[in-house]
Amino acid sequence: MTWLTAPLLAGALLAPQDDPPPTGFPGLPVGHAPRVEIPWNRLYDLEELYAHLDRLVEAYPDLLERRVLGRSIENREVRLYVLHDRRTGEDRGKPAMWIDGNVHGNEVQAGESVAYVAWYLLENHGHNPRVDALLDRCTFYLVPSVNPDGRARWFAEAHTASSSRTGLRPVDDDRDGVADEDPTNDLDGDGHITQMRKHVPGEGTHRLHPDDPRRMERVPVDERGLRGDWILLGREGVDDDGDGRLNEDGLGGYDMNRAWPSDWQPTHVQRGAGDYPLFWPETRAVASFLYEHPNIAAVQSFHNAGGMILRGPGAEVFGEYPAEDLRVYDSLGEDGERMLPFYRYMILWRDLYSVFGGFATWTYEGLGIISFTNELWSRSRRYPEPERAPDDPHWFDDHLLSSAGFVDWAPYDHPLYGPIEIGGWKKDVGRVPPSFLLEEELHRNAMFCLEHAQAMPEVSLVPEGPTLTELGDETWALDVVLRNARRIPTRTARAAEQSIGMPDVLVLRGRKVRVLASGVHTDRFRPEALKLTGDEPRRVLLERGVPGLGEVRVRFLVQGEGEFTLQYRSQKAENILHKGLLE
Amino acid sequence: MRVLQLALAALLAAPPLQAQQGVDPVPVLPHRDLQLALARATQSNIVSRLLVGESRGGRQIEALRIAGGTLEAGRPAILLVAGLEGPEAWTSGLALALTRELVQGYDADPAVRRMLDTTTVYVIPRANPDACEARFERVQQEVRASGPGTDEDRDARRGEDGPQDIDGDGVIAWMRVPMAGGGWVADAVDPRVLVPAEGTTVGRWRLVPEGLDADGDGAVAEDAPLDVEVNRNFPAGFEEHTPRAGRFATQEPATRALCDFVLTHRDLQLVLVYGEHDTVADPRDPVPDDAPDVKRVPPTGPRASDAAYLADLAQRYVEHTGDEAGTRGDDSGTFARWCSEHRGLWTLAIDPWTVPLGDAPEGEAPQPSEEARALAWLEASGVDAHLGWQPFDHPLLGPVEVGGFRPYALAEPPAEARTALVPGQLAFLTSLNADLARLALAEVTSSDLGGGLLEVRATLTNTGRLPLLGVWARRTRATRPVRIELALPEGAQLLGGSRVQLVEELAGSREHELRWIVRGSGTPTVLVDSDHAGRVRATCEEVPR
Repeated sequence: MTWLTAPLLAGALLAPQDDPPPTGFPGLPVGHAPRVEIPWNRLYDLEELYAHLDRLVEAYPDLLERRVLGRSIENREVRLYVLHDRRTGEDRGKPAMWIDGNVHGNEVQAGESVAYVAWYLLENHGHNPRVDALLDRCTFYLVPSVNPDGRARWFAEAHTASSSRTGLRPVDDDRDGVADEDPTNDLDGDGHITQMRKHVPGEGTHRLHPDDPRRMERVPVDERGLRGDWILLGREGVDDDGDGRLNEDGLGGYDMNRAWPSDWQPTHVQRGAGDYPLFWPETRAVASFLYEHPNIAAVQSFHNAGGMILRGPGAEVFGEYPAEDLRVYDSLGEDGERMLPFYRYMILWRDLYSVFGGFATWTYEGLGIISFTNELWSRSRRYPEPERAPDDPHWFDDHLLSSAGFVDWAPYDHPLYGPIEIGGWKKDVGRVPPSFLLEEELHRNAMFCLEHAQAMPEVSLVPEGPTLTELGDETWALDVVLRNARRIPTRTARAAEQSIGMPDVLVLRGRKVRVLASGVHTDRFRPEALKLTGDEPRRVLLERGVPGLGEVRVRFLVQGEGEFTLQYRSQKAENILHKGLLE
Repeated sequence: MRVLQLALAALLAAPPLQAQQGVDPVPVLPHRDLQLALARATQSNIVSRLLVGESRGGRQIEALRIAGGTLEAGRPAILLVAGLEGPEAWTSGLALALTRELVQGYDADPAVRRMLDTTTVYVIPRANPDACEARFERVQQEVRASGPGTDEDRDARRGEDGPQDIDGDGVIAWMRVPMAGGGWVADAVDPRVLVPAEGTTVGRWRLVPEGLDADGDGAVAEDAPLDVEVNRNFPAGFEEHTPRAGRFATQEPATRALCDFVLTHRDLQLVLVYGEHDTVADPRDPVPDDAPDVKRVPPTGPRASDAAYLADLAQRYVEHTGDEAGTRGDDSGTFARWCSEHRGLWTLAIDPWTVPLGDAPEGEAPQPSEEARALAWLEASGVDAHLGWQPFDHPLLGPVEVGGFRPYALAEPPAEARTALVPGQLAFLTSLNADLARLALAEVTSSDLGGGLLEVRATLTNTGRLPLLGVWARRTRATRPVRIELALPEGAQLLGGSRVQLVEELAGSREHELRWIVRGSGTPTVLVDSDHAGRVRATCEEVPR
């Protein structure tokens, strides 16, 4: 394809061409507008998000393919979009990166982050040699929403920033024999679940902030007892089931990111884990795909919020990951910290909280794949100069969003509490960026994915090819050097130590060639220093694969003449077939 | 030797473990016959057949529900599971025999009738039909795994070198390879039996499974085509990254189906599992009721209070059955462990039969190993338990001998011994009826407090011996507590007490007092609702005026 590039560029300068007129949009060279325009400064409900990706499928049928992994509890599709250049081979034959988002239904911009990766790569294909090379060499498996029910309901219904995290299988949270019968209620019908407060002069725990009555302050307790004028009554709702408690059994009630099989613990140890690993159809569909696609060599999962690039272990009991793999993690994590302002590269259990049955911990500990979870959106980005940040939590909303994020307190007559006030932050404040910062968030995270994808193993024979040394009597030493040009090894230390998947294998064959012995060089200056292969010397097994940015040197001692073939097979790198001649 | 081999072939033509003349009361049945037996069982109107799921091999896993009386929601239930491991295929017959005895006892034995009118018994006679079916294959082999093969020998090929019947005698057994230092020597009394070389003794043989070196890597039968075992694939104590456990817990359809059965049968209180593991004779050490979690993970083992109840049950089991043998073994990933650790159910893993040991010679005479004594007992009981050792010229290993214990000989009791198990197991099973927690509501009374106020009182009683929920059941929260509701007539008003309350803790034969203050006329009703210990309601007697 490279010879095409020059004439095309020349044509662009000299003659009218088919591309749309220049619009100068970022990420593409000047002179190209995207085939599919997607405003990236807003969020899309499930159908809109799927529709954008479907438009991309239509515009780029040779590159993007839509599949259905499975169906949710409420029968929505869990969609997978497969992105790669089909002219350069099957998706399963290439190292692949898995990118998903929105396993927590409310963590919505995770879905746009996945979609942006597809859009960016597609729109730059044919214009940017690095993008072309990536789509030649790699596959992307993109799942914009692992929890389509949670996403759909977060958009369609009244919620908080944190609700609709769960899937939609009913759970009897309050253990009274009835499931999902006491959710929050949008009492004032404004489409938001906010807070309830009641005025109880002289008997409350809180008072209004002197400068801003929207804000509540806890009154310090002293020997005179309570002296605030207000009490807080929690999220908007009533006691639907008449059991004396409010909002204690909402829809669903579990966490699909505690359901993955490695280090899974039951619900009484890890809340929300489900009754056994992969309990829900969404999780089982995703896991089946991952188990059946050993070509996946990189994993990124998107969540919100907090500005984090997380790696496992999820639980302290696990210990620490092997040093070889940590070098890869650290190198990518440090790149990520540079690419993503205010993001911190962190260890899940140590720096955030401990999680059993997390997704990205499973894909590493169970599947042996270098995996990250990004918590999108750091509130620090509201004030990039921290020394200028005000104390007032409303300042940003008031001055940069015209107070659009807050529902002002308004009176309401509650069936249990009597006259109260309802008000508070809307669901799209706190965990998702405001529109004008969203696109930057998506772009930087997409580029972090591409950095990770670039690091997937790329193995070749050294350019000079295998070398032959004649030993006499028609016997030869055939030295093969396999070199990995990328950071991620073909077999992580975790995969090797736990016998995950298949080892790499290098096979020598020839009609008139007999392999007498073989082994892996352990000392480049001593050709006889070989870790010898077992009873089948024509197959050299590489349990630890080809290291990242490193090489493996193999020697075959052979007898015979004529043609031979060398075949290198790996589950996470493109296979190599080399033909040579004993002479 | 040829004569011997022919004799062996003649023996093999008959079923390997010959049943007695007439009908075998505890037959060892292949899947198809088992399904017929299940169909026959439903001729009784207290038995229904339920589909549990389908195995990886497409075989149906079924349960029988045995229940007389009215099948009200919340009625306590016992689950009996058998046929979970391949070598234990015979336990399906024991489970079916107990079913038959219960059905007959319903008409003939008042104790059985009392039980079945108030308790539901679920029987899953063959939980792992794929592995059990190997027992009935033309070529005999003890098979545990029924799930997908892994690359056990790490040669980038999956399941390419499993055991084979290399001498064509219809049995896949063992090969002993002469080798100084090989780790095995002949038993001092019965030289057919091999025992590990211990101390300064130099081993004479290597012992390897019967097979070739199909993949030419110099190792024999080291990568079997099937690996995952259903009864290693449950989530409790699951061992990720071991071939027999599977890639993830509940990967095997049979495993998941069994889990789903337990999850959807919330009436279960007690689980009995017939198989290789025995927690009756060999329970796990208890941990204190308040044992703290270690790095968020609770220590394994029954909580002391729960262990005491289990020990009572175990003692009664021994009294009824005389069976004191059996070992827990490595129970990681087993069904019984899941029921107990993750679901908080009262669970007993029972190995209902262990080969008795023949007598050991007295005095200074050389002592036989346990295997040799087991063999002596089996042969005295007429079981053709050992194949002997037949010379074979192995393409890789050279001259070897093929033989050893006949598959299933050590796991499966002969017909008479199977039959003898039924009365004791039945008596134990029937005795459990009195253990189950069961809720009763003593008379609901009310007294006039004056001023139009009534005090309503009720006493909730657990008439069983087991607590409503054990310590661990309360921690797992897998079984929901009792829900008590006071339903008031139109116009009445609750002035004191909770309209709805949940009770988790109620020991056997204990009472829980309930009180409410009500204003208004009419008669309040107390509704007691549980999934596993019954549902009762009582309406207040006439209010004294």
